[in-house]
Amino acid sequence: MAFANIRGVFIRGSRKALRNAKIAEIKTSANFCVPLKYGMASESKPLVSVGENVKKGSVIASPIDNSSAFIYSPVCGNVVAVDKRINSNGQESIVIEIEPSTSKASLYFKPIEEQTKSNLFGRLVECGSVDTWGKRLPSYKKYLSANIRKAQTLIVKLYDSDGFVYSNCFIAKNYAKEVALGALLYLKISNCDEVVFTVFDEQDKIVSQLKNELLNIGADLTKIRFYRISRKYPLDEEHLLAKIITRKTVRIEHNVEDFGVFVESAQTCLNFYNAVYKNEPTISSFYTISGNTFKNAGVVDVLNGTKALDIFSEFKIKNKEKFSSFALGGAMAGIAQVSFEAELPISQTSLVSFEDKIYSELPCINCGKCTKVCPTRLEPMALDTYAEEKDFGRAKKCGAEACINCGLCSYVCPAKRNLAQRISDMKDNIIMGRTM
Amino acid sequence: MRLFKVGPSPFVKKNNSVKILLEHMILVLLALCVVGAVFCGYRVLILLLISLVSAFVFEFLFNLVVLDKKGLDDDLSSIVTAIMFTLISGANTPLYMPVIAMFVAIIIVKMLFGGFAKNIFNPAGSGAVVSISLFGAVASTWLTAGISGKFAENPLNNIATGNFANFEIYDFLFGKAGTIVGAVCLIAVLAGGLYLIIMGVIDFKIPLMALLSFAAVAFLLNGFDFNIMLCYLIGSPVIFVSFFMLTDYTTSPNSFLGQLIYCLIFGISAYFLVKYNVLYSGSVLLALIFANAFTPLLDRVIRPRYFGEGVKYGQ
Repeated sequence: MAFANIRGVFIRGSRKALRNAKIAEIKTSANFCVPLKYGMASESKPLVSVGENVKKGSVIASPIDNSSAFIYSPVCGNVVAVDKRINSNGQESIVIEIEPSTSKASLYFKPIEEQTKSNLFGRLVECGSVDTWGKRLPSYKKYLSANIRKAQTLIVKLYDSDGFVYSNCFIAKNYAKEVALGALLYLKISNCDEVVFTVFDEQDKIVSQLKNELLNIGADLTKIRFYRISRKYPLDEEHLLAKIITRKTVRIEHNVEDFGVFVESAQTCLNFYNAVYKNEPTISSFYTISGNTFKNAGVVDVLNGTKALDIFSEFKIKNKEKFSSFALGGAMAGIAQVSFEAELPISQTSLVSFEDKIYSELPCINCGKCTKVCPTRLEPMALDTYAEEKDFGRAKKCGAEACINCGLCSYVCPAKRNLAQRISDMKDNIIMGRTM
Repeated sequence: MRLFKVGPSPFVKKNNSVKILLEHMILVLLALCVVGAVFCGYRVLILLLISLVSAFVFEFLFNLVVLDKKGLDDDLSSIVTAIMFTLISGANTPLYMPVIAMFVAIIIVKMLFGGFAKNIFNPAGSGAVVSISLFGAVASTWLTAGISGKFAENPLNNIATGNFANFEIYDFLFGKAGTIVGAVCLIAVLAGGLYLIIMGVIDFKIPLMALLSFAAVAFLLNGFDFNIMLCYLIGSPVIFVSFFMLTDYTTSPNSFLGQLIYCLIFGISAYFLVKYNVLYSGSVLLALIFANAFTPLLDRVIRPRYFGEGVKYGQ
């Protein structure tokens, strides 16, 4: 066995403000900017042009290959611009800007006549659901026919392991029935032997609620397992999750679904439920707003492409002097944003902002704390030296490609070195085949 | 318009820093200095002052002459080195000795290897070893703590001659024995070590493994005599060295297996160097330097198996 237990950290007190988070309403004032590319997925093809009128839920972009999704208009309005911009993920992509109108007209799918496997898979493809973790590929990509033959385990995450994010847990708590039905739909299309619900926050409450709902639906409880995750970050990573639940070691470069393990979250279960039972496309996702610069923390149902300034008009900043920036995608592995104009895509689940603290990098003191926490058992300080020397060959030998960009090495480093950043840059260079 | 300051993730960091770690270390070492001064007299404080001043002067001069930079480095490592040297020398040490030791420690062992955290050997330890080697003729007399009584002389001499009759554990626990300043009161050493372990500065594994390997060798090679083993443990400064010097981050390996080998090298070599009294109380320090020399090799050769290593695709 390559390794026995999963390492990580638990950030104490990070969820204090989020335990009793209530859903907050935001007033959208600015135009919606819908990006056509999420994370590592490829870019969808725009179907609308400037000046066109769109309804809420009408399709505005279609996939070009197996790793892009259908994208739907989040509101009624007019298309103002279709052009290339830098999106909030830091990539250049086409962004469709929609000016909202007062009309409430909406366009939804036709109901499914019979819940056969092919009908459900078709609905999953057209609903435009996107993973909110990892590579952020469209949800249907996992269930393409080649993978289904090997299907064994479906894992549903009902938690967010980043200490400052609470979205999935919030959904599991407040939409238990929807999550249960959505998970059973995924089970139906994937042919898996069992569903494993993994819980982390408020375990007893979520487990008992979900069990009740599953009994009410009349689900086959022999196929369902609950798994309590230990209190450590980053346990939402697919490969680590597959390891602790199914004991399968899958190299980080490969996808877990090629080895029969499918991972879904409460958000994607809710998306699938909405698409099948309510005939709604995926146009929104639950965002956690947290961090110590905000006066209050909370959870918001954010429409695709909402601008960050709408969030900031609802959630006030405590001390404007100390505010420096905000980030999408969690405190540990998120992406820092450069303006309030940044759009919030459905592939993210959090907007966090922390008080301005400046750390200066010191030389490595060889304390070994990074090696002790690395969940994939790398040696970050050695990789850091190779990254500085641009010695990619040796870095590859030491497993640089197994880095999962969790950011724990930077988190624990007493010399405040930016290990995670340099290692992930080097990893990207290695993957692209660049050598110096 | 206010500009955004954008940094790399993670946006939260653990509340620790090199400075905090060194401050904890300095706190404990200063406390041990005070304990040493109580038992061995005010001369300890004079030695401490000379060590500190000479460490600062050498650092300043090196920065000025070689690095073309005015002022001292803002890390606290030279303070640790200076206090550490005071603790590993005896109270009767001649007052010119810290100057020589600090020259070796700061200039040769630390600065010429690239400065803070780039050194291969423990600076204070190698400074002491070099100065003891240079002045071997006087070393046997000055490496005692200046305490009158049955252990006015270094107990290491008793160990070397096989005279274990006078040893009583009480003397060593409460500062009645003439050994190095730091190890004069073993209760204080153990309390300091425990404090550092609780504050997360040092790992308990290194001192534990080092002491166990030293004790095991002493136990095996002395006819399974528990008392002789205890005399070796308390009579030599091995407890002090394994808590405060062996655990130095820069000069110790990171992997568990590496640490085990490092501690075995230290324990076995320390036993033989103490038994034949090679360098008086420098014997244990010489073993430390010897173990330090293996650290780069151990760190390079022994590395953890990363996730998925040896697996072709997945299994």
